[in-house]
Amino acid sequence: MLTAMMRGLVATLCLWGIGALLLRVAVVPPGRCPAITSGEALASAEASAAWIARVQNPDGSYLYEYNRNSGLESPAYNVVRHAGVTMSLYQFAALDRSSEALATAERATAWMEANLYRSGDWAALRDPLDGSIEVGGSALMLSALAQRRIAMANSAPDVARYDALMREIGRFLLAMQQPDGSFLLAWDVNTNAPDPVQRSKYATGEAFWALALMQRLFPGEGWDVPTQKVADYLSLYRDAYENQKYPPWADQWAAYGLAEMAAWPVAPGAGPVLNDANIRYARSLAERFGFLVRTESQRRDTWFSDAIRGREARAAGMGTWSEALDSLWRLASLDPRLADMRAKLAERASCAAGMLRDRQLTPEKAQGQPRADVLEGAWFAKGVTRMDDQQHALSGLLRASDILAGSPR
Amino acid sequence: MSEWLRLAIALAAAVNPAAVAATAAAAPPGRIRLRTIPAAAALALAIIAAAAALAGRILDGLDIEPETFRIAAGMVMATMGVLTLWRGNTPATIDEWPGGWRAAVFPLALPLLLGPATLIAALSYSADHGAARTASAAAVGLVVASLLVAIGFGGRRVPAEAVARLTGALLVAIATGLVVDGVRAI
Repeated sequence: MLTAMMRGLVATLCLWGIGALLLRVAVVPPGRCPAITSGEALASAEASAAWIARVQNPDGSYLYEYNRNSGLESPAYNVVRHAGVTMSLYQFAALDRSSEALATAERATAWMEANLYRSGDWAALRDPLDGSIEVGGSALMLSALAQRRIAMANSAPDVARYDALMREIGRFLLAMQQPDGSFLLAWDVNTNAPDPVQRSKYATGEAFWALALMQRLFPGEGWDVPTQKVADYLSLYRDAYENQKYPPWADQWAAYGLAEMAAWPVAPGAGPVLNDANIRYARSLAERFGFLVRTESQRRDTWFSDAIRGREARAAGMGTWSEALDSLWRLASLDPRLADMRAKLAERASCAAGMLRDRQLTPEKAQGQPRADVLEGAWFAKGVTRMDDQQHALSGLLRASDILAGSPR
Repeated sequence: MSEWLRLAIALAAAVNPAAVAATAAAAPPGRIRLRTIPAAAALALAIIAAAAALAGRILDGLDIEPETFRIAAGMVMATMGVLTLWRGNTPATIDEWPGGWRAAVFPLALPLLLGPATLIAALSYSADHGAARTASAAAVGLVVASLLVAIGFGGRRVPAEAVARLTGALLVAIATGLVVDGVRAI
């Protein structure tokens, strides 16, 4: 016979146990961050680059989307993603010139060159399907050419092959920039002026990074002033202007741009390039991306996890988190005002890289299946892979390899 | 305000001394002896200290990041705060009061002095701020609660319940801050 004390104690502990169980299931399931080495991250990135090379069409474009359940390829295409995928290949080529990535990227660049629109002293990437001329595609094309320049650093004179075009595209971006530092989305060929209405939550960050790279590659040409204007717009006004419900908007391009700016050389005695508002913004981005990775690490590919915690993110999403965390880690390595975040950023970026590597379709899993060439090295969500899944995962894994190796390249 | 003081206030809000006193006042006469009160507080503190010391290992073992655990801790604390705000005493209802020293274990130590909010707060704060700091800060709330029980503060129902409700509201505010902190952490 239990005493009153024991009865009360047992009842209390049982109640707490049930509560703890509910908490475990609904709020704090185990977070899973698979261990990954720098070499494994690079191997995973290489498999992704190889996928892109395999699915490239003879004209330089890529397979846009593939559904492994139906076996169908999507007829759609997106120039912004074309430019982004090409940029990621050049990032990989900077590490490994001997890889197929460079040749693939060069063919893709030729495709973009064939789809340029020129007006006055500028050039922009034009969508061959609908004729639209948007900031995002041009900005990522410029970033791709900048990454090409970095990859070809020791290959004169080829390194400067696109310098004139880069400046032309840079001038298009400046033509689209507003006085507050933001960017309009599209150029209207009928009015021969920017469409004053349309904006995009992606375009400003994409243009920001492209301009920051221009300042690195062509210092003294004045690219720093418009870049700083974008940085301030992103840091102070963007979320309010665009009515972001849960600010800050998780913008990995902004993280790339801030990290790039922090690496700009400064004159002796001059203060840091990034102002306090930029640093506060960088911190808020770090918090957002860190939370996204923590949450993702608790998700599983089960109906129960889907119901309680939402579906696993596609690689295009998780790759951008990795890219952002990698960029912010580089920024924290350079700017003492963010040094306190460096270790946590490395932890989260490594976690994202480990999850990406684990979710990639390996040759073993692809073997024997129809269209194994389109399966191997790719990431699928609900049976579908899109080219930017490989793009963002490739960039994220590539940059995370530096963190895992312990130092920024 | 120092970090230790902030911890002490948060953990005192989790203990909610006025609510403990209000619930203890409902005990049948003679069930709570004066000397059992410090024994109960010591037991509660010992459990908190043990939990705080093991917090890192517990969270590691459960594969939970301290930042994520803040969200869970905040949710539990907020729930307990709301219940106290509603009831005016502790969320736990004691139907059967054991006599003698046994009352020090149940219900004085568990679940009155050491409720779910206090335990999970101690785990979370310890993972972030260290075990010694957390345990010493928790002692404040336990001492205040013991004193209020000893002087029979709960017998004065209106002020006891008013203070308990105010403390519950404070706990909700602190818990909300902890959840936000967990979401905003990297």
